[in-house]
Amino acid sequence: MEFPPFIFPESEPGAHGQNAQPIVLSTRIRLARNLAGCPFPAKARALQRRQIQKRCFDALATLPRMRDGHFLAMDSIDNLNRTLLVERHLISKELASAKTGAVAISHDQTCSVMVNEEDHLRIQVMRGGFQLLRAWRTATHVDTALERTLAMAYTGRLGYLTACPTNVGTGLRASAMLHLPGLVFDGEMQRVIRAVNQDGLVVRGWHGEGSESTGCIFQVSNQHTLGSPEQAILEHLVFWLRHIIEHEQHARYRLLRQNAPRLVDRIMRSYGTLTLAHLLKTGEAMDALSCMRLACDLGMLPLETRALVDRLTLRCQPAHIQAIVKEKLNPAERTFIRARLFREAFANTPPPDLAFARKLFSPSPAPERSLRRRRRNKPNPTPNPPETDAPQPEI
Amino acid sequence: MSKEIPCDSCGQPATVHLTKITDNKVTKVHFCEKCAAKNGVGMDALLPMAEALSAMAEPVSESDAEPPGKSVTCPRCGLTLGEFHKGHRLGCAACYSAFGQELGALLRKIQPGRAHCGKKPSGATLRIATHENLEDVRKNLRAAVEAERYEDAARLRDRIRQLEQELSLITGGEA
Repeated sequence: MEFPPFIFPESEPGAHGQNAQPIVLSTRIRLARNLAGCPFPAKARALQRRQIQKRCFDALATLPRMRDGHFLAMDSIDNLNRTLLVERHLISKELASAKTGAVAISHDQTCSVMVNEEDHLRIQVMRGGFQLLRAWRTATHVDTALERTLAMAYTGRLGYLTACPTNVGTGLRASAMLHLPGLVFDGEMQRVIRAVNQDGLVVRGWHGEGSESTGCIFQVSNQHTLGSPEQAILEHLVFWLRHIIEHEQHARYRLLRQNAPRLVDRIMRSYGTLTLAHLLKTGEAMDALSCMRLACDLGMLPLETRALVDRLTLRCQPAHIQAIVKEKLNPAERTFIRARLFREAFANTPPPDLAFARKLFSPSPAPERSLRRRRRNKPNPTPNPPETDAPQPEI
Repeated sequence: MSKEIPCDSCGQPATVHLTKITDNKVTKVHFCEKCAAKNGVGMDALLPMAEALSAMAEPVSESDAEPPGKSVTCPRCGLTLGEFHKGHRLGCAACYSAFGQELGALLRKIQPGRAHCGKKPSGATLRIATHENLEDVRKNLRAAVEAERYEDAARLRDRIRQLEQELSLITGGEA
């Protein structure tokens, strides 16, 4: 069984050379583009799709960012490798199940460009932590560089034309992966989802559209793409992300004050599961890891454990488990290997420290400077304002 | 202040209100948060993307429904309006003008703005887009002259001059 070499470098969504941050795991920018004069992938013939792929790959190969990158056609890699790429969020499930289609991945895995997915080009840039603007700058830079040689389908009125009208205009989907155990335990999540939905944002699970949330991880992204400039779309998203972060911190504080034994019990049980279990399913592992991340944020575990948790969140996925042991495994075998992997990984991690009350909150994610200004007249995402004595996040 | 609506299931004040239209019949349901979750009116029903897509599945209004025997088809890729309503995907860039009317109504529903005001294209994209724009304006000018709308024609002539200048700037005088 063979795996491409790029699978193993530790460039997880939560890492990318950054220290893992509380609450915001990673941020992502996606731009949808189509070549002018060619039918969109679903209507293109096989020969046309191959020509489109060649044109896109030729243009991508000239970009400095793609130097030493990986250029992969979907029909050249097996099912397991495709799933591996989906688990790393480098390609979408749709591309993995398409017969034709390809992806170009930068060497550091922060940038991946899907070719012949729903649109001819899907430029994606991922960054660890709260770095939306930085990710946007990279994505637009790649897009502009491609436009030098590739003419995209564009009209003055509708902007960049896409296969689905939900993407037309900017073609921009900006998202953040958030870890929200406080709001989930507190039963507040539905209310937050409803509030942000009403203001043009979408909340999804860990693997995007149609996926369920596991491990209290949610993806929040903009829904609208036409009628606002990119900067405004990003600012709107950042505004709401800050609100959600604030509410998550208040929810954690509330839980600690009102229901500390329950919270501590959950964390300690999760630690027990991860260090002692001999069979672990993905969902159970993700939930336990979520509690470990919360324990790091609350100062109950050393901060470096957060990066370990993020790495394991990725590596506990089915295809990663098989890539690690380099053999095909059935689900029952995977649960066994997964448990072993976790016992080894947590062997040197001390049990969560209970004397944490004095350091309730770890620093909040660093604000992006140009977006520090807060907009006025925005509705509060929860009907009940948080308690006034709750500590304010350091934004 | 309007009167509080009780939950259909338990009588508590309702916070989730769902209006469904099936076969021209309007049904309204009201639930409190707990009963909404119990009855499956949870996250999925409230996702705006799901709403947007279901809006796309239905003809946007009666006048937009395909008249029997006549179907709008994209002249470039051959996609029919029916296929678009089924799959929610367009076939090519020309579909945007072929289904202009239907798409306009749909875009008003699913997008807050009417026109793009974001990133301006550059390089090859700008060249092609300006060129296509020029062709469109020339076509409109011919139509205006034929219809003897001379005021419109004068405005379009000025626009053509402006676009020609832009194009020659972009292409370095080759156009």
